[in-house]
Amino acid sequence: MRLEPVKLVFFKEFVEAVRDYRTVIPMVFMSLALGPLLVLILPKIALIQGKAIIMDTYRVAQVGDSQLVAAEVKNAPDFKFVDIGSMSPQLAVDKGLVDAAIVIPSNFDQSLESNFKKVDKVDIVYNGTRSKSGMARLRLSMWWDGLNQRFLQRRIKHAGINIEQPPNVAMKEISPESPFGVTTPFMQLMLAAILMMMALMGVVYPALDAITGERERQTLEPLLMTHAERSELFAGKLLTVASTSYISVLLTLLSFFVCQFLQPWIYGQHTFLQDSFPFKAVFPWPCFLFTGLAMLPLCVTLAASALMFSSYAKTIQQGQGYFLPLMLLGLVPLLVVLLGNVHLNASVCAVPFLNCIVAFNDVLSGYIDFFWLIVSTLISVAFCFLAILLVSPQLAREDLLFGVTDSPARRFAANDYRRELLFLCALIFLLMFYGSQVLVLNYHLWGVALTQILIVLMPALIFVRYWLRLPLTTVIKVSAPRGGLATFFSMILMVPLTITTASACVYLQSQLLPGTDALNEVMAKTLGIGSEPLMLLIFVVGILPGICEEILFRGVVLSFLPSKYSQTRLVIIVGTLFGAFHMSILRFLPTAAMGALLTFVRLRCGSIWPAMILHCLHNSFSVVLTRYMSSDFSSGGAVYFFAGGLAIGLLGLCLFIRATR
Amino acid sequence: MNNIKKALSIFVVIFLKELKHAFRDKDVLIYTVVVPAVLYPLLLVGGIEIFVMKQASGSRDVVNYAVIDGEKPKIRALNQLLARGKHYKLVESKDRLKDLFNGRIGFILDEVDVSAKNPRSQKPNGQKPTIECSTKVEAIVPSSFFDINKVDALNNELKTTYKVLLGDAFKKKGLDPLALEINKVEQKNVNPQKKELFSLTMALLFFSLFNVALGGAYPAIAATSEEFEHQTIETSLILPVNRWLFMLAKLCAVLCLALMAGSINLVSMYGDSSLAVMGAGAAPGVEVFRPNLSLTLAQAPLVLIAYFIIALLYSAIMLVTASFCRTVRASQQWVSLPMTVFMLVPFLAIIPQIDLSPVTDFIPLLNNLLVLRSLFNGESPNWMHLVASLQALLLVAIAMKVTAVMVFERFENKWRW
Amino acid sequence: MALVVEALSKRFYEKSRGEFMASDNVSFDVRDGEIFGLLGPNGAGKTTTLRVIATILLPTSGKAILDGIDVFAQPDKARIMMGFLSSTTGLYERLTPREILQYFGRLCGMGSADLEQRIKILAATLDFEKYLNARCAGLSQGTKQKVSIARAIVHNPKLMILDEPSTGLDVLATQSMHDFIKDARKEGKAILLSTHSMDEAEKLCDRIGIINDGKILAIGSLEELRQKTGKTKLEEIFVSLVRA
Repeated sequence: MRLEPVKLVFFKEFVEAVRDYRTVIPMVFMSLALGPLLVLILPKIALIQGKAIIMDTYRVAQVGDSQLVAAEVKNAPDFKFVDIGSMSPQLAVDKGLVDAAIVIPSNFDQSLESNFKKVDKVDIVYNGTRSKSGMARLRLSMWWDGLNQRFLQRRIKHAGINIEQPPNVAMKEISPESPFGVTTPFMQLMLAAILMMMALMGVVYPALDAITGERERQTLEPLLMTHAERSELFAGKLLTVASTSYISVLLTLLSFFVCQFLQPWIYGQHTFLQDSFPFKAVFPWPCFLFTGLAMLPLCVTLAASALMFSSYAKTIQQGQGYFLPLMLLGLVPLLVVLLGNVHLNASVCAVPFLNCIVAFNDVLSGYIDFFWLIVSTLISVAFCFLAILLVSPQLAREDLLFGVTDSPARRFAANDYRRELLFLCALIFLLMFYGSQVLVLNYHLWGVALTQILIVLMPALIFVRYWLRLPLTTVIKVSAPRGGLATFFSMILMVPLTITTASACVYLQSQLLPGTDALNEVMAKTLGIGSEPLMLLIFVVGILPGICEEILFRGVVLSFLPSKYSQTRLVIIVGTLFGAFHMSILRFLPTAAMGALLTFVRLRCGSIWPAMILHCLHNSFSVVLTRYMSSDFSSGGAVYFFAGGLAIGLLGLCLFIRATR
Repeated sequence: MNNIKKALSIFVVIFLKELKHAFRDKDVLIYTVVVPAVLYPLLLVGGIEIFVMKQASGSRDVVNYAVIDGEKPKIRALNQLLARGKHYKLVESKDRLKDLFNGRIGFILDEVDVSAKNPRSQKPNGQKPTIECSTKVEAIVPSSFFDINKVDALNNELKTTYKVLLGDAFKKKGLDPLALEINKVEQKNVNPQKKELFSLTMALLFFSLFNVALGGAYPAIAATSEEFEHQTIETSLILPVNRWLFMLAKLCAVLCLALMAGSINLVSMYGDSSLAVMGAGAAPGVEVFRPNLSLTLAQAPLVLIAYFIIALLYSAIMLVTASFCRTVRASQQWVSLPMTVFMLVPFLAIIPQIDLSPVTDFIPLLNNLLVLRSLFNGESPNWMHLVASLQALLLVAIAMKVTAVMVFERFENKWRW
Repeated sequence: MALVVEALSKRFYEKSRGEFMASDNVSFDVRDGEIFGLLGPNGAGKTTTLRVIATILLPTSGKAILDGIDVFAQPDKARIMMGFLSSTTGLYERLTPREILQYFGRLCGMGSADLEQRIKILAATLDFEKYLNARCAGLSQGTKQKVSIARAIVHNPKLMILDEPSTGLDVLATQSMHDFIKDARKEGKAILLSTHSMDEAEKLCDRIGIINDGKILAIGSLEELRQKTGKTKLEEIFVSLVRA
């Protein structure tokens, strides 16, 4: 990839974008307007509202004679007590004569003064359709709480007990010190929400325009005829889109930076200087500059992803549809900030988007670790290069440029059913998500059985038989496997391998991620692993999934992937789909690995039976082990168990490979 | 009568053409229907797991904490109370802040002086407000959502331990611990269907309105700017069709597509929240996500009408914005301005203090959102609702007139040059 | 022999039409210093054939050799020697013709001095000098077409592939376009163009390939075609070949 064409494309597209005044103006306007809006105007409104809430008086009625309460009532400045005479409190509240009413039982004074008798409960009546009434209810119950504390303290003192009530602990949030200075929590929140949004908006439409727009305007064709390589064109466009996004971000940062100086004017020096002023905006200039720097990898990554989507879209309308998920990503930084304890470390750095988002959050909140910042930047750059290499061939796709497609008959002849498979996968995903969860949560073990039959097996069979109209037995490959009996025997030997690997995964996860035990317990309880009869469990959890899932994945899905794919590619794809199918982040890795192994088995021996047997045996033995053996992995026996299992399993694997040569 | 019939049939022809044009790609169905339906589940998968895991791990661990100056009276009392339970452990720390930020300790307790001015204690005749001096205990935590929970958990632990101590003391004296419970309160809602000031379903409704705007953005652009760019406006100019009717038909097409997007999103999110709640079982804090749909049969049509009017207003505003731009690229940027407004104004409408009053009844978008909220909360329709709806319809009509001018007459002027 | 096309086929699929051959076994050759015209009605497959040769579309089968290089096997090398004018102008509205020409010229690897010279010559020859620095949005269709042509051949390729070059041009502009093409022929370039105008084919082309429904019906100079069919006017020749 040469630098010269990339520079050329970048400059030309940039000049073209800047000359489009009508597009540039709203972008600039928004970037500059958000700062004042969020830092100056909205908090002012909130403060005014807040003051109004404090100063508000609520009309309240007291029902039931109680001298004690009546005495306290005079000291409640935010309530105005109204006498409703003999009207019922419900009617008074409903009609709006009062906002809320407190109904005190008739024996309240007596039981209280006796000091040790139980006191009947008090009712607070309110009207849920009116917000003021709801607020009155809250205020009233808070006031009543306070009253009760006093009454309680009196009783306790009377009983001669000298235990002091613990003070209520208030919360004080702080941020770490940083050489660049730190922003206040309010600024962090605002910036986290807005910066990502501005970066996204600066990326989405320019990216759509850069590729899909050019396709629609038919200016992409001549570009493809030049000597510039596809990757160079793509890289140039990436730089342009990243720049528009970055400029938008910088302008936003600038407007926030400037607004912090205007705050004392708007709120008054006194309010602003108070420690407890919740909307304080402090943005030290080193932090401002460094945040600007930290946003660059994010803009570039966003640009790469947006261009990826844009390359696959034939029309702008289609592209907009693909961009919807990307837009929702704009919510992620807000979540990260709210969660708070997500910082840059090895696992976070490895994920392309997440690392940039966490990086700029860390910079804003003061958790600066230069090493991880640099690693994260490098990974983002690597991601962009990868995107360029993988996606630039899409620029020249005939079907997107001119609508040139192959007839379905030809696609099927080449065993290319990817479109249909995509539909099947989406359908099964939806069924699993909605149907399976409902079934399992409500019918437990029977729900699992129903899931397997209705959601896994039936769609697969219907798909093959009635939609594609192909013979089932050929597609699912029920012929005898290569290697005959030896293959079957090797499957039995391989079971210890799969079980030890799965157990090792579980063990490692429980060490690294706290709370996995809780999750496993919940799952075990839902399925009734401890309680249901063993034979039933083995059938429903062991054998049925073994059959149905194999038919779906190794039978249908595998058979309909293009035959030109290499074996490795097929193994990875089917394995990943199998892992994703189980809809659990925790179990993804072990199930994906298992899926890959099963795919390998099926490809190697050309029949579905060995894979089915391995799957059934694995599941069944797992059930038995969960039931009867404790998960105490620290004992010495466990190590021998592992070693033995591994050894036998590897033996089985070797036998299998030899038998299916 | 004939004229009206004719106008109606022309309207239907244009309306159907716009819809067909929008659905010319069968891929449109994929990303208008499939993507929203699949997207939220995809995001939720794993979310529930992580949530349950965090909650489980949170409740079992022992939290270390440090204090600044353990000799202060309140701190000493707290230490004693916390030492009784098994969940909190006081540790020594050389660099408290460092340990706080790297997670070794959960929080730092400090007793500070406090002087607060209570605005209420301002006497009516203007005397100086009383100043209350006392000390309070602060827990210093790094700012994060889970750390806020930590402080709540700490306070709960303190209250529980205190209650246990009291109960024991009472029992020792031979008294009935039930005597401690004098603060039992039951809250009774006169209208039991509307329990919440703020309900999740309401928020979902507002969010789906935003999706209505998103879904209507591209159709609005396609109906105006794209026609300019592709120069198909010219052919519409010479048709013997009333231009206002023409724009109305376009508006209805945009509205249709927008409503489709909004409702699919709403249904998908509603289904997902219900499912998520079911799936997370009894994990604490999950109840917040349970959507409560307690609309009566009488309320539902009114709520739908209010929703529809807001969607109509959104579509009209986007249409008029897009009609100012001659290229798709420019109008994409310009339409984002009203979209930002559509995103921010519902936040105002959610604040309980802002209610439908003779003043707010005339603020253009806010009044209709407040009408939706009040109808959703069960209020019966009154003149303010009517005024707000009529105002919205008037705005729509004006917007359509402006759009017609922008689309047709400006085009003619351009051509004459 | 500059360009040799052997049995070129391109298959399309449309839901309404099903499968059909947009180019069906097309074979012809274009020599250096010759203007070869593909003549046929709309939808005959001219644009498809030209796009395939220009490496924008992949052929279903067939070969094209340009000066000894297999065009489909080594598209990068082939593109250096080709210039393609597509049927749509496809100009960037907010750039000026000079900027567009500089952009494409430099993308094709030309140095700045050569490029400036070339732009001057092209602008003078194609007569859009006074619009060189005006934004393309305001140019007339004819000027846009001229700028498009200039862009296609700014890097002085050996083979010029022009798809309907006189689209949107009035009589005078068409005349200057024809002069330009004839000058290029004098310089020894090979020119492959497509047209549906019998007039243009008669006036401009040395040899004509008559194409209909994706198939080549006849190839030859005007004289040869007259002899083959016994008709004099190109229209009559065309009709008789199609009906045969």
